[in-house]
Amino acid sequence: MTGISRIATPLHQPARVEGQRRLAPGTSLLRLSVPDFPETLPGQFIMLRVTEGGDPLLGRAMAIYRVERRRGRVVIEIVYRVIGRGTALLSGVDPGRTLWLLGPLGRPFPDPPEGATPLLVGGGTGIASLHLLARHLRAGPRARSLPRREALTVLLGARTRREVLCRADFAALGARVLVATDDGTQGRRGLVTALLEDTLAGEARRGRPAGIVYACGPTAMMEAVWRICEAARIPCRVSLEGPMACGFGVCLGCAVPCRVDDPGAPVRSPRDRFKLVCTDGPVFDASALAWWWDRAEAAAAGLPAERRP
Amino acid sequence: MTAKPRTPKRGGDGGRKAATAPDLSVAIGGGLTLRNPVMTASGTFGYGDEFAAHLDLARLGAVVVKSISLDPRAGNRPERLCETPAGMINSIGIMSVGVEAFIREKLPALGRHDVPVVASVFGTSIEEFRSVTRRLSDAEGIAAIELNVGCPNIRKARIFGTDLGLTREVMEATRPVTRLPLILKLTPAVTDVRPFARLGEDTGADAIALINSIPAMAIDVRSRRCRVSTGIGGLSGPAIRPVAVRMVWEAATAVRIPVIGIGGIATAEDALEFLLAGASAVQVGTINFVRPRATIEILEGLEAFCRAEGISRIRELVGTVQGAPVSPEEAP
Repeated sequence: MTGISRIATPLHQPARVEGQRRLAPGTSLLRLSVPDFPETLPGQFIMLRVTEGGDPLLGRAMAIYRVERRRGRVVIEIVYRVIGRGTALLSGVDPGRTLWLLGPLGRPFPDPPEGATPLLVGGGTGIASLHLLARHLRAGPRARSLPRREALTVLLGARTRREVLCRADFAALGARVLVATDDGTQGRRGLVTALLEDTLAGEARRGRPAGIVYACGPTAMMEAVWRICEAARIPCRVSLEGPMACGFGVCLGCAVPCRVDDPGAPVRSPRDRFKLVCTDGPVFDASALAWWWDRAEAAAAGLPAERRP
Repeated sequence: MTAKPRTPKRGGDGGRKAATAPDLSVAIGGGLTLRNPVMTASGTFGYGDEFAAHLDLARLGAVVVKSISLDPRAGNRPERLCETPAGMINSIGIMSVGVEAFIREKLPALGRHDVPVVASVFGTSIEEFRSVTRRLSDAEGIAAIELNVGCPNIRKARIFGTDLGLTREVMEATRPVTRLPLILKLTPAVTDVRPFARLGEDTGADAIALINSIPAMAIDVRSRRCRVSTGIGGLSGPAIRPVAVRMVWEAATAVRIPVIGIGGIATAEDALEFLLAGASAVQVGTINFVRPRATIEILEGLEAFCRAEGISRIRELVGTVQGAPVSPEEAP
């Protein structure tokens, strides 16, 4: 996994709000600027605090959408959807305000294997972490690992046309962008996972099968993407979210269960059973995860955790 | 509540820093003196080294590490954490590398920093408390043991700390197997904390630490499910501070051994509240997640307060609260 050795030490610092722009109902792009920001790799995130005070207390984990280095400033963009109190407060933040951020955090997407054609699948605001990946695949030091310049395909899923996010940004990178909407108001009607199946089949027919799939979106979408990839024997990397207080491996709140062959075996290390989204991820090999963690039947399925009523 | 302003000592505000630096050192029992009263709270500071990128650990009074069990423990299944007003509920369930891996891997990394290490011991049985305490006492580089008898998230184990008999058993199992200072950390999930504090004193604890997180529940009204997987988790953060200050004051009025105050400390003023209530030192917890340098900011704030108020020794503040009930019995 190249790139891991280049993971920078995160900085905790105040950032200036440069502005924000509504992308879709309930979804915005926020621009922040800081004097300095370490090299950011695709898939990394920041913890952003909406308040200075104690309420809401915790920072919000936000995928980094774009980083622009200018004279003496670094502009960081994030894409977020209003889902609770913190993000509702964030949506009302005016330019000039100071917000504390910690980052960059987490381990990045690995490069595609030599000669493998990557395919990106994003749902909702999950497209945010994929944009930086697409940019690196097209223009960054990773561009060389792409077998053909025109070989980057990005699938975007949304409920409806107005919620398809940042399509133009992906297109501007020269990627082939295919869209699926639940209601058929843009692109193909249906789930992005159905679009994925067709795309994989089409590319295989043309003799250019995808060599690796990168996905980010709702958990159910990523699980479905993983199952499709398993069936097609294509490696799949997903970027997860998790409820986290710190973002750097100490609160242990964002644990996700790993696939365990023998749940009854003694625990040799906690990391055998759970990985932390913040420091082991947020990017994971999808086949290493136990995908049923948010289901009630988890205990019945023999999950290693000590589930309590 | 603030201390009465005092006349600055000679050389006061205008003097050179070195000449007037207030004495921040505090004794926390068992012959252990810390360079300042700012400790970290177990479970909020990892094994210490995780914070080395953000601050100089050697400036802290002590680092209290994540609770250590005998064998590795995976911890509870998700969801493990949810945010609540000015706080959070966690149900981690002691995700521990186990005592051998702690001694082999974590302790040496922490040992590179010149800071007293307090090992927090967790057990699901009296025997486990004893075994872990004994093993840690044989290891190099541990300054004190803290007994976590109040973890709210391991149902199988009961909360030892809500039962005087079980707490006594833990103390009687661990005290004879270690010569290190022994800190008994109490849970707030009791009606009256004073008998537990006194029991600690009577059974050989060198200090009492409180409070652990408060058993709490939050419910998602749409899914109608509890927001942590165990249903009940531990509430922490600024939301619990006034409860913690009250309980620290109660414990401090009940025992002669040092009390260490814990609960929602985010600023130097918060820490001072605990000192005035009777704590000799404080542990900074949940705010470490949000502001990795919070301990250092609090330490600097304490020093600035002492300078501004002309306090030459911070320990002079301990227990000097005014206006508290004469005895806890008089509290409403």
